[in-house]
Amino acid sequence: MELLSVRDLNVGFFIEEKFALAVRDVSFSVKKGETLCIVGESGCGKTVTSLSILRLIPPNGRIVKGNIHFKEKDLTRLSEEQMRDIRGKEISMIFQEPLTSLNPVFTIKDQIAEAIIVHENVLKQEITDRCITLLKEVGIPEPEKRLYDYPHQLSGGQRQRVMIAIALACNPSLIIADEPTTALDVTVQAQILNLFKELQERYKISLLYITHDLSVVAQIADKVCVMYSGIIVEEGSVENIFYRPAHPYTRGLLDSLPKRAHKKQKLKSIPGVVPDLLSRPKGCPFYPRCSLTKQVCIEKIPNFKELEDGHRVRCHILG
Amino acid sequence: MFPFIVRSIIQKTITLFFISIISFSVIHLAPGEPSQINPMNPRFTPELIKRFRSQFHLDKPLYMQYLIFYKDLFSGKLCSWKDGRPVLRKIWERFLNSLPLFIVGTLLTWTLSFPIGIHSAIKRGGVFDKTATFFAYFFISIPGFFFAYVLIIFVVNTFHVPVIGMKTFGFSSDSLHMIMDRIWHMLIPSVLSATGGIAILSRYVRSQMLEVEAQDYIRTARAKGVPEDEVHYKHALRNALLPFITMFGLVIPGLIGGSVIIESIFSWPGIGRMAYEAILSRDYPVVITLNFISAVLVLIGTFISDLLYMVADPRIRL
Repeated sequence: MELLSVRDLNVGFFIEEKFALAVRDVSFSVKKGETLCIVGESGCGKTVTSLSILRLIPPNGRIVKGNIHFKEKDLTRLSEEQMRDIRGKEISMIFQEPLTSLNPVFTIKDQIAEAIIVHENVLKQEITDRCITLLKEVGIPEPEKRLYDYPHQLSGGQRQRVMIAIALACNPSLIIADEPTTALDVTVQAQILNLFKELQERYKISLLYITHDLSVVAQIADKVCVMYSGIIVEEGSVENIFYRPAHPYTRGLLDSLPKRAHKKQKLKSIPGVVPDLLSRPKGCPFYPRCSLTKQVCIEKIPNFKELEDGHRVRCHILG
Repeated sequence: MFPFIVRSIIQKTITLFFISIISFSVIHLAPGEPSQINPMNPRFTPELIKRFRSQFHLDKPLYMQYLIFYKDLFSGKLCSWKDGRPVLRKIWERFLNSLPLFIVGTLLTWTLSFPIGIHSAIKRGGVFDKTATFFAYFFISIPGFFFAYVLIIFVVNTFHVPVIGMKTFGFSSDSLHMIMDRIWHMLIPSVLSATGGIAILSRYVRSQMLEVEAQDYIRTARAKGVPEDEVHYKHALRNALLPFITMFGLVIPGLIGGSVIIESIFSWPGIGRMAYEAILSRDYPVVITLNFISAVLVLIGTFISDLLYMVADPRIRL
């Protein structure tokens, strides 16, 4: 049973009077209790994809094509008001920058309570209790005291925990986490990832996890979508992606991971940069950086090829 | 909080001491002194000049003049050199005349700028925003004196009411008519002093609001499912208002400033005109006292805005 299924999503932006597609024909689905990771370099469209699900893309952006089905509803067709009932209640979102994602002039309690008050009719005392429970759940020590702190009094990791508490406030069935650990240091990152896993096991929440960090993917994902320049180039289970990567870009990403065994070796990298939104190549977006490029790559975008069950790749040459 | 208040008062007193020295020296650095205002006047004999100079202590060394001046000021004995009336009483009378203009002008400015600026920012690029932007630049660029004459012609021709001065000279009637007369006279000068302020302040509000609306926590609020109105007026506005606390503190010195241009055009016997005339006639006591009072008000204004910041912004603990 699929909880969220995105079909042929196309999202574009008006930039300098031109319209450019940031996300092209993206399709994926998340089952109940499952974790899907979307991986890619910055600028590949992963954040835009995640924001489109909650219809929170900036005003100059448009969802031009595609459906987003969530629990039998098509989110692209809902009114703004119906969308508000879904945001924070059915689907919550956690953002990249815990330092700036909380409003500096309101207390932690105000901000957690708000998420509850918007969606439910609850008594004042009950709200305080629920805020305390939530803070305990995300592992904040002395929640009764922290409740009346302002964001600037907390560390980055704690702020991200508060963000998670806000996301959990109304028992959502899906949490979208957009690089939630990128701004944190590695030890805190590990703690937060463990927290995600724990909460997911306890509440059977589905997780759509956006990241550029493959080591995070290895720790948390069930399924992985690799995005490049607005399209998904490869998708499959986490084993498929790590042990049998098919797309040259995925291979490049895995090769550029530092390995502890070969300390003296120079780190590998993929030559070139992600193409600019307004000057993307016509064919396979990866061909300018690919070592296997042939004429067909330059001419058209490859279609998906099914390699094994659930493992699909968009490449003319491989697969 | 208490230590902050004590520390702040001590610091501001020290600042004030240096301001008193500077404002006193500045006026003495300027060329000309009261005894030389009209050297062509045949009645101004050298003996007379000498008498003037000794009467006003101008023949003493500067530091002595400074001491005498501030001793007189604080004991209330300081008199204008022009007409011999006590300076503080002169200023107080003029202050009362300027006060209604200041209050109405400031109220108009602050109550209108915020709705205009906020609405422009929320509906960015819309008809309201474009209209507001057009008028803002129009009123910023039009010279005040020119706009004043346009307004005078318009109001006088349309409503047939006198608008120059504080009230119609020699007009006496029942109290309602008197009040209406005063209001008509106040209308143009206060609207005029407000238009420039509204034009500038509403632009500040708009850009501040736009900046805050682009912050991450606004997106967080939306992601929580908070209705748009609350996103704007609760989450964005509280943050956008913070910088205006500083500007609000700087409104207070305007109490003593007055406006030379508006008061001159409308023959309004206000404080700005008095200051201007005092400078022309080298009436040192009036000029320096006004200078000193406005310095005190600036310090009070910054002190109040510091206190307000502590209340409004949880990040600031002084």
